Amino acid sequence: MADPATFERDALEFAPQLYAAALRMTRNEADAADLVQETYLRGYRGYGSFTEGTNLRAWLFRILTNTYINLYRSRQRRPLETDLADVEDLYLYRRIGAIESAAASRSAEDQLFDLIADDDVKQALDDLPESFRLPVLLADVQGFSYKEIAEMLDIPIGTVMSRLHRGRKAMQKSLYEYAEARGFAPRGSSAAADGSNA
Amino acid sequence: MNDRMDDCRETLEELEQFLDGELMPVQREHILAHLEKCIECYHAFDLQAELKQVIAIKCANEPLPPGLLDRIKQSLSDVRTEG
Repeated sequence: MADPATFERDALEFAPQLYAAALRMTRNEADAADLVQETYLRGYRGYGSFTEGTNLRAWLFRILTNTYINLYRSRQRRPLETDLADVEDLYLYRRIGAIESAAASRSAEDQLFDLIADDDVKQALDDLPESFRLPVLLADVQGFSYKEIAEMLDIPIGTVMSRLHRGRKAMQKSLYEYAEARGFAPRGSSAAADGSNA
Repeated sequence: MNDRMDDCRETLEELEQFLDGELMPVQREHILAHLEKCIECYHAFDLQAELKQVIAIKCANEPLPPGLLDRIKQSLSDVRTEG
Protein backbone atom coordinates (compact mmCIF):
# COMPACT_ATOMS: atom_id res chain seq x y z
CA MET A 1 0.00 0.00 0.00
CA ALA A 2 1.35 3.37 -1.04
CA ASP A 3 2.04 6.09 1.47
CA PRO A 4 0.20 9.36 0.67
CA ALA A 5 3.19 11.32 1.95
CA THR A 6 5.24 10.17 -1.03
CA PHE A 7 2.53 10.91 -3.59
CA GLU A 8 3.56 14.45 -4.36
CA ARG A 9 7.24 13.57 -4.59
CA ASP A 10 6.66 10.62 -6.91
CA ALA A 11 3.71 11.76 -9.01
CA LEU A 12 4.44 15.40 -9.85
CA GLU A 13 7.20 14.57 -12.30
CA PHE A 14 4.53 13.24 -14.66
CA ALA A 15 2.67 16.56 -14.80
CA PRO A 16 4.13 17.66 -18.16
CA GLN A 17 3.13 14.37 -19.83
CA LEU A 18 -0.30 14.42 -18.26
CA TYR A 19 -0.82 18.02 -19.35
CA ALA A 20 0.28 17.31 -22.94
CA ALA A 21 -2.21 14.44 -23.08
CA ALA A 22 -4.94 16.47 -21.36
CA LEU A 23 -4.53 19.18 -23.97
CA ARG A 24 -5.14 16.72 -26.80
CA MET A 25 -8.15 15.32 -24.93
CA THR A 26 -9.88 18.58 -24.04
CA ARG A 27 -8.45 20.65 -26.89
CA ASN A 28 -8.21 23.74 -24.76
CA GLU A 29 -5.68 24.94 -22.21
CA ALA A 30 -7.99 25.91 -19.36
CA ASP A 31 -9.82 22.57 -19.36
CA ALA A 32 -6.53 20.71 -19.72
CA ALA A 33 -5.07 22.44 -16.65
CA ASP A 34 -8.24 21.73 -14.64
CA LEU A 35 -8.21 18.11 -15.79
CA VAL A 36 -4.61 17.62 -14.66
CA GLN A 37 -5.31 19.22 -11.29
CA GLU A 38 -8.38 17.02 -10.80
CA THR A 39 -6.31 13.98 -11.79
CA TYR A 40 -3.80 14.75 -9.04
CA LEU A 41 -6.53 15.26 -6.48
CA ARG A 42 -8.15 11.94 -7.34
CA GLY A 43 -4.75 10.30 -7.45
CA TYR A 44 -3.91 11.59 -3.99
CA ARG A 45 -7.21 10.45 -2.55
CA GLY A 46 -6.91 7.03 -4.17
CA TYR A 47 -3.20 6.58 -3.60
CA GLY A 48 -3.82 4.00 -0.91
CA SER A 49 -5.06 1.63 -3.62
CA PHE A 50 -1.93 2.07 -5.73
CA THR A 51 0.45 -0.84 -5.38
CA GLU A 52 3.91 0.49 -4.83
CA GLY A 53 6.43 -0.76 -7.34
CA THR A 54 3.86 -0.99 -10.14
CA ASN A 55 3.63 1.55 -12.94
CA LEU A 56 2.71 4.91 -11.39
CA ARG A 57 2.68 6.63 -14.76
CA ALA A 58 0.12 4.18 -16.20
CA TRP A 59 -1.93 4.49 -13.01
CA LEU A 60 -2.02 8.28 -13.30
CA PHE A 61 -2.92 8.11 -16.99
CA ARG A 62 -5.75 5.79 -16.15
CA ILE A 63 -7.11 8.36 -13.70
CA LEU A 64 -6.60 11.11 -16.26
CA THR A 65 -8.50 9.18 -18.91
CA ASN A 66 -11.35 8.25 -16.57
CA THR A 67 -11.62 11.79 -15.27
CA TYR A 68 -11.73 13.15 -18.79
CA ILE A 69 -14.39 10.67 -19.87
CA ASN A 70 -16.52 11.25 -16.76
CA LEU A 71 -16.19 14.99 -16.30
CA TYR A 72 -15.23 16.70 -19.49
CA ARG A 73 -16.62 14.72 -22.32
CA SER A 74 -20.20 15.55 -21.52
CA ARG A 75 -19.33 19.24 -21.48
CA GLN A 76 -17.90 19.30 -24.91
CA ARG A 77 -21.17 18.68 -26.66
CA ARG A 78 -19.67 16.98 -29.61
CA PRO A 79 -21.27 13.92 -31.08
CA LEU A 80 -19.96 11.01 -29.07
CA GLU A 81 -19.60 8.34 -31.66
CA THR A 82 -18.73 10.10 -34.85
CA ASP A 83 -17.30 7.63 -37.28
CA LEU A 84 -14.44 7.93 -39.69
CA ALA A 85 -14.47 7.55 -43.42
CA ASP A 86 -12.52 4.56 -44.63
CA VAL A 87 -9.06 5.39 -45.82
CA GLU A 88 -7.05 3.01 -47.93
CA ASP A 89 -4.19 1.21 -46.19
CA LEU A 90 -0.79 2.67 -46.95
CA TYR A 91 -2.41 5.94 -48.00
CA LEU A 92 0.48 8.10 -46.93
CA TYR A 93 3.07 5.60 -48.04
CA ARG A 94 1.84 5.58 -51.59
CA ARG A 95 1.78 9.34 -51.74
CA ILE A 96 5.07 9.92 -50.01
CA GLY A 97 6.52 7.48 -52.49
CA ALA A 98 5.72 10.05 -55.16
CA ILE A 99 7.58 12.72 -53.23
CA GLU A 100 10.53 10.44 -52.80
CA SER A 101 10.84 9.71 -56.46
CA ALA A 102 10.48 13.41 -57.25
CA ALA A 103 13.29 14.33 -54.89
CA ALA A 104 15.57 11.36 -55.15
CA SER A 105 18.39 12.91 -53.17
CA ARG A 106 16.52 12.82 -49.88
CA SER A 107 14.84 9.98 -48.09
CA ALA A 108 11.09 10.06 -47.68
CA GLU A 109 11.53 10.10 -43.93
CA ASP A 110 13.67 13.22 -43.85
CA GLN A 111 11.06 14.95 -45.93
CA LEU A 112 8.26 13.67 -43.81
CA PHE A 113 9.64 15.25 -40.72
CA ASP A 114 10.16 18.61 -42.40
CA LEU A 115 6.97 18.75 -44.34
CA ILE A 116 4.73 18.05 -41.40
CA ALA A 117 4.36 21.11 -39.18
CA ASP A 118 3.95 20.62 -35.42
CA ASP A 119 0.58 22.33 -35.46
CA ASP A 120 -0.59 20.10 -38.32
CA VAL A 121 0.10 16.98 -36.28
CA LYS A 122 -1.79 18.38 -33.31
CA GLN A 123 -4.64 19.49 -35.55
CA ALA A 124 -4.86 16.11 -37.26
CA LEU A 125 -5.02 14.40 -33.87
CA ASP A 126 -7.49 16.93 -32.45
CA ASP A 127 -9.75 16.40 -35.47
CA LEU A 128 -10.15 12.68 -34.81
CA PRO A 129 -13.41 11.68 -33.18
CA GLU A 130 -12.79 10.96 -29.52
CA SER A 131 -13.11 7.19 -29.70
CA PHE A 132 -10.20 7.19 -32.15
CA ARG A 133 -8.28 10.14 -30.72
CA LEU A 134 -7.77 8.62 -27.28
CA PRO A 135 -6.27 5.32 -28.47
CA VAL A 136 -3.92 7.10 -30.90
CA LEU A 137 -2.88 9.58 -28.22
CA LEU A 138 -2.25 6.86 -25.65
CA ALA A 139 -0.38 4.58 -28.06
CA ASP A 140 1.58 6.91 -30.30
CA VAL A 141 2.24 9.89 -28.06
CA GLN A 142 2.38 8.18 -24.66
CA GLY A 143 3.59 4.75 -25.73
CA PHE A 144 1.15 2.61 -23.76
CA SER A 145 0.54 -1.03 -24.70
CA TYR A 146 -2.72 -2.30 -26.18
CA LYS A 147 -3.48 -3.96 -22.86
CA GLU A 148 -2.91 -0.77 -20.87
CA ILE A 149 -5.05 1.23 -23.30
CA ALA A 150 -7.81 -1.39 -23.20
CA GLU A 151 -7.86 -1.07 -19.41
CA MET A 152 -7.80 2.73 -19.46
CA LEU A 153 -10.66 2.97 -21.94
CA ASP A 154 -12.48 -0.13 -20.74
CA ILE A 155 -12.75 -1.62 -24.22
CA PRO A 156 -11.49 -4.97 -25.60
CA ILE A 157 -7.96 -5.16 -27.03
CA GLY A 158 -9.36 -5.95 -30.48
CA THR A 159 -11.30 -2.69 -30.38
CA VAL A 160 -8.15 -0.81 -29.37
CA MET A 161 -6.41 -2.27 -32.40
CA SER A 162 -9.14 -1.48 -34.89
CA ARG A 163 -9.57 2.07 -33.57
CA LEU A 164 -5.83 2.64 -33.72
CA HIS A 165 -5.74 1.38 -37.26
CA ARG A 166 -8.58 3.54 -38.49
CA GLY A 167 -7.53 6.57 -36.46
CA ARG A 168 -4.01 6.42 -37.82
CA LYS A 169 -5.20 6.11 -41.40
CA ALA A 170 -7.46 9.13 -40.98
CA MET A 171 -4.61 11.10 -39.41
CA GLN A 172 -2.27 10.20 -42.22
CA LYS A 173 -4.79 11.39 -44.76
CA SER A 174 -5.15 14.73 -42.95
CA LEU A 175 -1.39 15.11 -42.67
CA TYR A 176 -0.94 14.48 -46.35
CA GLU A 177 -3.65 16.97 -47.19
CA TYR A 178 -2.11 19.63 -44.93
CA ALA A 179 1.28 19.04 -46.50
CA GLU A 180 -0.27 19.29 -49.92
CA ALA A 181 -2.03 22.53 -49.01
CA ARG A 182 1.32 23.94 -47.91
CA GLY A 183 2.68 23.14 -51.32
CA PHE A 184 5.04 20.37 -50.35
CA ALA A 185 3.48 17.45 -52.10
CA PRO A 186 4.06 16.91 -55.77
CA ARG A 187 1.55 17.21 -58.54
CA GLY A 188 3.37 15.58 -61.39
CA SER A 189 7.12 15.64 -61.12
CA SER A 190 8.19 18.63 -59.03
CA ALA A 191 8.07 18.42 -55.28
CA ALA A 192 7.93 21.49 -53.08
CA ALA A 193 8.60 23.89 -55.94
CA ASP A 194 5.00 24.45 -56.84
CA GLY A 195 3.20 26.18 -54.01
CA SER A 196 0.09 26.87 -55.99
CA ASN A 197 -1.68 23.56 -55.68
CA ALA A 198 -4.60 23.46 -53.36
CA MET B 1 5.26 -14.64 -56.84
CA ASN B 2 1.99 -15.57 -55.19
CA ASP B 3 3.86 -16.72 -52.10
CA ARG B 4 5.70 -13.45 -52.07
CA MET B 5 2.48 -11.47 -52.30
CA ASP B 6 0.86 -13.50 -49.54
CA ASP B 7 3.91 -12.85 -47.46
CA CYS B 8 3.65 -9.09 -48.16
CA ARG B 9 -0.02 -9.05 -47.28
CA GLU B 10 0.57 -10.86 -44.01
CA THR B 11 3.52 -8.65 -43.20
CA LEU B 12 1.60 -5.44 -43.85
CA GLU B 13 -1.31 -6.68 -41.79
CA GLU B 14 1.01 -6.97 -38.84
CA LEU B 15 2.78 -3.69 -39.49
CA GLU B 16 1.14 -1.75 -36.69
CA GLN B 17 1.42 -4.51 -34.12
CA PHE B 18 5.09 -4.83 -35.01
CA LEU B 19 5.76 -1.10 -34.61
CA ASP B 20 3.70 -0.97 -31.44
CA GLY B 21 5.89 -3.68 -29.95
CA GLU B 22 2.96 -6.05 -29.58
CA LEU B 23 4.24 -9.12 -31.45
CA MET B 24 5.83 -12.21 -29.98
CA PRO B 25 9.54 -12.69 -30.75
CA VAL B 26 8.81 -15.46 -33.26
CA GLN B 27 6.37 -13.22 -35.16
CA ARG B 28 8.89 -10.39 -35.14
CA GLU B 29 11.54 -12.69 -36.56
CA HIS B 30 9.22 -13.67 -39.37
CA ILE B 31 8.57 -10.05 -40.25
CA LEU B 32 12.19 -9.04 -40.02
CA ALA B 33 13.11 -11.90 -42.36
CA HIS B 34 10.53 -10.67 -44.87
CA LEU B 35 11.68 -7.04 -44.61
CA GLU B 36 15.22 -8.10 -45.39
CA LYS B 37 14.20 -9.42 -48.76
CA CYS B 38 11.34 -7.07 -49.64
CA ILE B 39 12.27 -3.43 -50.14
CA GLU B 40 8.63 -2.38 -50.72
CA CYS B 41 7.50 -3.62 -47.34
CA TYR B 42 10.68 -2.30 -45.77
CA HIS B 43 9.87 1.20 -47.01
CA ALA B 44 6.29 0.94 -45.80
CA PHE B 45 7.48 -0.09 -42.34
CA ASP B 46 10.16 2.55 -42.29
CA LEU B 47 7.72 5.31 -43.16
CA GLN B 48 5.15 4.20 -40.60
CA ALA B 49 7.83 3.98 -37.94
CA GLU B 50 8.96 7.48 -38.77
CA LEU B 51 5.41 8.77 -38.72
CA LYS B 52 4.77 7.26 -35.31
CA GLN B 53 7.87 9.03 -34.08
CA VAL B 54 6.85 12.33 -35.69
CA ILE B 55 3.48 12.16 -33.96
CA ALA B 56 5.08 11.35 -30.62
CA ILE B 57 7.69 14.09 -30.80
CA LYS B 58 5.38 16.80 -32.08
CA CYS B 59 2.61 16.15 -29.57
CA ALA B 60 4.61 15.23 -26.49
CA ASN B 61 5.91 18.62 -25.48
CA GLU B 62 3.50 21.26 -24.35
CA PRO B 63 4.73 23.92 -21.98
CA LEU B 64 3.02 23.62 -18.61
CA PRO B 65 0.86 26.68 -17.94
CA PRO B 66 2.66 28.94 -15.47
CA GLY B 67 1.45 28.32 -11.96
CA LEU B 68 -0.16 24.95 -12.65
CA LEU B 69 2.34 23.00 -10.55
CA ASP B 70 1.87 25.41 -7.65
CA ARG B 71 -1.89 25.15 -8.03
CA ILE B 72 -1.67 21.36 -7.83
CA LYS B 73 0.63 21.45 -4.80
CA GLN B 74 -1.69 23.93 -3.11
CA SER B 75 -4.77 21.80 -3.75
CA LEU B 76 -3.01 18.69 -2.43
CA SER B 77 -1.97 20.56 0.67
CA ASP B 78 -5.56 21.81 1.12
CA VAL B 79 -6.79 18.22 1.02
CA ARG B 80 -4.16 17.23 3.58
CA THR B 81 -5.17 19.92 6.03
CA GLU B 82 -8.84 19.02 5.60
CA GLY B 83 -7.77 15.62 6.88
